[in-house]
Amino acid sequence: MYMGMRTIGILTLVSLFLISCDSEGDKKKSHKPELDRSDNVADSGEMYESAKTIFYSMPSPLELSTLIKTAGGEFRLDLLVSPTNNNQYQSTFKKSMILGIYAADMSYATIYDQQNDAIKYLAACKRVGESIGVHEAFSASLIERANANIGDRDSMLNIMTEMYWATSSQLQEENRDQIALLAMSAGWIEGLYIGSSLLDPDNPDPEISKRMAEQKFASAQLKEIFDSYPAGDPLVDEAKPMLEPLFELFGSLNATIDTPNSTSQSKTGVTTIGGKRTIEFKREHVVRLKELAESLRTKIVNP
Amino acid sequence: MKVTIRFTSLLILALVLTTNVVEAQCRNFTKRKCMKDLGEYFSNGQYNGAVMFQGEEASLMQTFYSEQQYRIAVCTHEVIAEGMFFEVYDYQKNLLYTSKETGLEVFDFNVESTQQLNIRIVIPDDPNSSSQIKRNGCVSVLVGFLNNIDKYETAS
Repeated sequence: MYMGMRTIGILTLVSLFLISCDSEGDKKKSHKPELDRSDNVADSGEMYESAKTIFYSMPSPLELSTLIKTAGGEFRLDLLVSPTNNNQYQSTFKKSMILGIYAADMSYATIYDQQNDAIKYLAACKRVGESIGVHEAFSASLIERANANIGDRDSMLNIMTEMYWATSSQLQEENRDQIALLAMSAGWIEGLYIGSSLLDPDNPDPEISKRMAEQKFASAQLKEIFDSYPAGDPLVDEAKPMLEPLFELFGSLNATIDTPNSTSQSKTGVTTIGGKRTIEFKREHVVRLKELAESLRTKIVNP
Repeated sequence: MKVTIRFTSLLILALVLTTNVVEAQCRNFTKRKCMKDLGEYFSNGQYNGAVMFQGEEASLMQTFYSEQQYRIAVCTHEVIAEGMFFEVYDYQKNLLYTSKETGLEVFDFNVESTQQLNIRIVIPDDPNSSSQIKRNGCVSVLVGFLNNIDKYETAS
């Protein structure tokens, strides 16, 4: 009896140790919110001896398309990838990346009210997504709603954000958020490709130019996420070197703070965070961005 | 011995399943209870949810673009909602907003210049509790942006 209890105790402790080791690994690899036990809260003047969960944020393809449109960019169907070749992609890496490209093109078409094109990209996303086990985001009811609301941009935007959310949360829950990272990275590259294609290096549109330069922040965030994965994850290890030249380019842009932040509140309760900053984006940066975005995008789109 | 191994295996299986069930519950909690907090704002499509204990905090670094209006919504399970607050800092760690002592769970704002902001969410310890066992629950951070395309189209 004593031996039995002792064996249970030892085996349970060993098992718990193994589970805890594995889950620590998972926290890094799967990119579940990460726990940092260091006390770095002192900055705010308060002391909490607390654990810290870190959420990582990725660029939103919908937001980038919105920025390009409000900056005055015209719709260019010729810049988008064909949605019909989706069965040519075989590996998980390729499928994850092309899923991001299709999702970005779908966002772009929707924002510009090109809903017939958007539906084609939604169908392509569904086919590729399901082939890598993302089912919930492309449920029959969601596709039906998209078809029923084809003339209503706001409904289409809602359907799209639901799809992104369902994909992101399912992959995170299943410890496969590397796939979400790859898709979001590819979507970001597509946004850079579309945005930079609209720029003439000798006479760049100042608004589109500004939005492209601001991708310095998205680049820094993406780099941080990639850096947080330990080496050895095949998907991340393959994607990271592809993105490095973009990280370098955006990292080299000089940002200056012209006036510091201040806050004011409107009567409607909306706070404005004031402060002015500028990001230097010269002709050579435009040229380099165009080159990099095009070559990376070609690499992703080629089966 | 066989019974012992079977018992231990079941225990391990139960632990693994519990972890996954908690994750799934958190996701369902966000979907059912939190998404509505974004109101007319479009979600950025990202799931930032986790199980947190009293006395813990979380942070999210996010880029916010000029000429866009945003909403940050922090949604917590009611067992840990008491005293929860969140703060917004700029990259130089200047405090720009705190919900402390307001009880507010949403913050609507815009930025004059595109920048990264850090959102810090704090689940304080319960000072009235003598128990050593800390309560836990789901915490979700949602970021939404307002559709300003129509405004742009009208202006142009």
